[in-house]
Amino acid sequence: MSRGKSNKDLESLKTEDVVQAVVVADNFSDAFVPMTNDVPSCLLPLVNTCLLDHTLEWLSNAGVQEVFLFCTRQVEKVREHVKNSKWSSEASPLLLNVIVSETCLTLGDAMRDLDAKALIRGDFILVMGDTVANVNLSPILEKHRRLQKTDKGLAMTVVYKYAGPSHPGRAPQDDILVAVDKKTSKILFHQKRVSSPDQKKVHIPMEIIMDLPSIDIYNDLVDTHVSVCSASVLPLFSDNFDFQTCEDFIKGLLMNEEILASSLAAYFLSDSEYAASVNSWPMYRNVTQNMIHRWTYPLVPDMLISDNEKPYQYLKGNVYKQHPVTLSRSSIIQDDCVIGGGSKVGEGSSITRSVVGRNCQIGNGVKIEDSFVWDGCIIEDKCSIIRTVVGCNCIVRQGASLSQGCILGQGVQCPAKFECSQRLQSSPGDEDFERIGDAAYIVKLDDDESDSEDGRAPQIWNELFSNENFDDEVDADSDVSSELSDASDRTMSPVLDDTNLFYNEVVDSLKRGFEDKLHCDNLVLEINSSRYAYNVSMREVNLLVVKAILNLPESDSYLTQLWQMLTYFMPILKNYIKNPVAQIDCLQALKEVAGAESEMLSGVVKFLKVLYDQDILSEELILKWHSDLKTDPESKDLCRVAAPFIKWLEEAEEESEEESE
Amino acid sequence: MKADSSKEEVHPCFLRFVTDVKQGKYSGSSEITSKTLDLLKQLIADGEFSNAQGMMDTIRAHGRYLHKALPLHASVGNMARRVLKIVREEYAAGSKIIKNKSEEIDPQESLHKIITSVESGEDYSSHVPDLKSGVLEHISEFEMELETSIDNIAQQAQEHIHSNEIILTLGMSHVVESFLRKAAAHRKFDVIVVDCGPIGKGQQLAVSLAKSKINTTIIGDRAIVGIMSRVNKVIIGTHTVMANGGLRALRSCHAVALAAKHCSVPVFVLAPLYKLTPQYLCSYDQDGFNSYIAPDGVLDFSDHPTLSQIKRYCPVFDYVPPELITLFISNTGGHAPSYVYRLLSELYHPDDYEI
Repeated sequence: MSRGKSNKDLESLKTEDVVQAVVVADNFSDAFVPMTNDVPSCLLPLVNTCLLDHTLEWLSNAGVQEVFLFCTRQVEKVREHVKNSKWSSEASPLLLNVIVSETCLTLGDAMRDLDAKALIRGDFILVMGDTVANVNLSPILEKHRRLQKTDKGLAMTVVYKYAGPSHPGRAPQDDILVAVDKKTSKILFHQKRVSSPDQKKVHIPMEIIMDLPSIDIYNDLVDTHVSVCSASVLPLFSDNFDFQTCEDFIKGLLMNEEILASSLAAYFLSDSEYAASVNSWPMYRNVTQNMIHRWTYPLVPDMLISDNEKPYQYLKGNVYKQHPVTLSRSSIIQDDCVIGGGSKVGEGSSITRSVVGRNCQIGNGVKIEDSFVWDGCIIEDKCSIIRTVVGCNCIVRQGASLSQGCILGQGVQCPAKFECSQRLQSSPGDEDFERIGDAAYIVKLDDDESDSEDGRAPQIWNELFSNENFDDEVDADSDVSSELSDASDRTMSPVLDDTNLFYNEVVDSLKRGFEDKLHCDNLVLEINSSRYAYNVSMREVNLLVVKAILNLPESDSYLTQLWQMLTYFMPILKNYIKNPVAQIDCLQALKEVAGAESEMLSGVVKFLKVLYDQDILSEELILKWHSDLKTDPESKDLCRVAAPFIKWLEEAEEESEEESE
Repeated sequence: MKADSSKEEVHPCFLRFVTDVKQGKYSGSSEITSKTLDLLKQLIADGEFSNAQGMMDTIRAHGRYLHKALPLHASVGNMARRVLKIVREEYAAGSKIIKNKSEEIDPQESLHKIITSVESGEDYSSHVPDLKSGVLEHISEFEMELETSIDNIAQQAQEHIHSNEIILTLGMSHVVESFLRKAAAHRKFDVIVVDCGPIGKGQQLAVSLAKSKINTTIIGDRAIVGIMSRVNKVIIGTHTVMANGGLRALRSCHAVALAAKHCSVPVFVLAPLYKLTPQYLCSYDQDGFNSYIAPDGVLDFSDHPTLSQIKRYCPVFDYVPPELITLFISNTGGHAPSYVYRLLSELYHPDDYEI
């Protein structure tokens, strides 16, 4: 007995000792198109080493022993890369497990898949496969475990780094405002995008301020996309299938803290620690610069060792040269440059603030500034490459001029004397992009998609990527955000936003249900799940469901359709409108819809009658509602239209009274 | 382990060791050095070698790996060189016994002897019985020497520190700490510690010295020149001693040495023998010689308006040329900088200089 127990103790100790990390090898976005057309985002090179290797190097330095690499796209490439790297060698300090799930479209899916596979035993570290960091994880883990002792529900410790709102290390989409309990470092409030000038006010719920003796509110934090998760995180993702991103997770947890019984803690990195996730072009540029400026030490080019890589030499002016580089005598390499091994730079060429990959051939009189030239490129004489990304194995013909956020996908052959500032890729793709050369097609980002998803994305990278000057950058920032807030004026606070989303979802389900003749019970289930997804209160649900039903019929044959729908959706109404409070909500909805749509006025009597007959609405509440209407000048029409029914009701009441007498 | 495939295969222990060093699990260079020696000893003990050549190839391959992986820890490469030298000696001794030329063995190796031994040593292929055990025994002796090296240096403290002297030192060095403590047991003197910025940990040394009742003052780096005229001796530790007697030492060392030269203050360098390396500072490799760390101790990452305006370098080491140094104190006694080359030729075989 006692032996069994000690064995168990030993086991628990053992699992505790192994530090596990989940690396998600996908950023679930198309921020790096066209580079990510045939290479997964985690294999893109940053300072001539692919992002995944940076991440794994860091994890192994930080004391992680077991890594689960979660792949979703271009799995074979990731597999092959891992197989050929030092991580799969016997002596690797990391135990690397590749997990494949090609159906995952979001981080949430990935987490659910992991939960289903039941591979994680305890606390684990969750990072993206594009993280560049030098953080020592053990103090974070320690803090997480210490907090866990006092707060059993602690699900996640989120790691933040300090950087002011205009700091270049902060992508505009990552602007956050966080409120933290000073004593327990528990996250109380989390809101995205607070820096837009139109939205200078921040709404922090009173109860947060009232309940706690002291809270810290931060506007100068960057989410590093690194977090320490308790074992409960995966089931939480499974239970709430609407959690798609880490953002959703944080938001959902904060909103339903009591229901989910989980909390979040924050960890702030010291100044000597660096962590950033490369999830967009601006971040790509920024992290590259930080690495060249050695903030990521010891993760800097001249410290990276791998058996098949030649060492880098670090020279004055932050210039890194890998052996063997051939530089002609009149070439100028200055200010924050990295030149990969086997590259040649011709006479009179100048390279400034740029990264050049391995085995690149750079001709005579070429000018490269603020650019990234990846492995194996050929750049012919007298080209000018400014603020551009040139993918692997591209050929830029004589005299071409690429500038201002131009991005060449892998293998593009840019014709001679060509001027460009767009994204090019080497194949025409499915949508027949405009052809400008043998292997050069202009990538058109799908407008519809980019509008709905992230319409600002191209704009952001254009502006952020092209402006070296920081002041301009700030301006560009504010432009973007002001446009944004225009679009979302109606939905100022996130709560309202959710309600709207919920409403739209209800309308969709009802419409579909009516068209496909779905069973009402299923529709109720659907609505209930959306309700939890958007955290909508019961009263709002009542209100919105009724509203949705009333708004559903087309305006041309409103009455007939309303009649059909009412009869069809009656079980739903019966399900929601059960008590006097709900009835009040229902009537309120009627009032709101009737006030907004004139067609509805004619249907009011019918609606009331039906609901009254079905015992959904009680007589006294209808009467009370009507008497309230009389005092409200705005709903005069409604009052007038409803009057006959009220009269009938009153008469019926008198009659029944008489009868009872 | 197969001797012929050893060139490609690096023992997993070594990879782990490199990771551990990079993670900063070892506190000082003496710890890294003894751990390296441990690993090399283990490598020899575990391996099966048909002859000395195979053994040397294995050691060389691993030494090269360590040297490449930890370019700034010169002592790691030094250990491999020392072990190679030990293997050579044992082989020479062993093969001479076999060839029954023991009557010819001369304890003093003459120039002629060296030349002939190189000739015979061109190939280390013949089988020597008990080579492994001999080598392991020899390494154990060397381990003892390593362990006691700091103590040996400290033993000499009384010869160099006199009563009522003012000693200046900088940063945190274990050798200097024990040296001063040992001297303080017999004499009374004052110590001035230069703090040496965010990485030097001079305060740590000052605290430790003050605890052992030494009259200690801590000063900032900028006060070095000002205070130097009052100082009787400069005693510093070092990271590495280069082949010409120059130092790779903590930054600010060069400033200290220059100030000392100006005021004609003698500069003593405490350097256990394992810190002597047959490398030179080459003019084309000025920057590869140093290590540049993140500038966080000097500037804040979040302070971006400043950062965008300035360039920043944060070197860890200074090169101190040999002419600024008065004396090296090693575990075998005091040596002038010009004598370092001779020590090197005693410590390592010339063929192993380039590992």
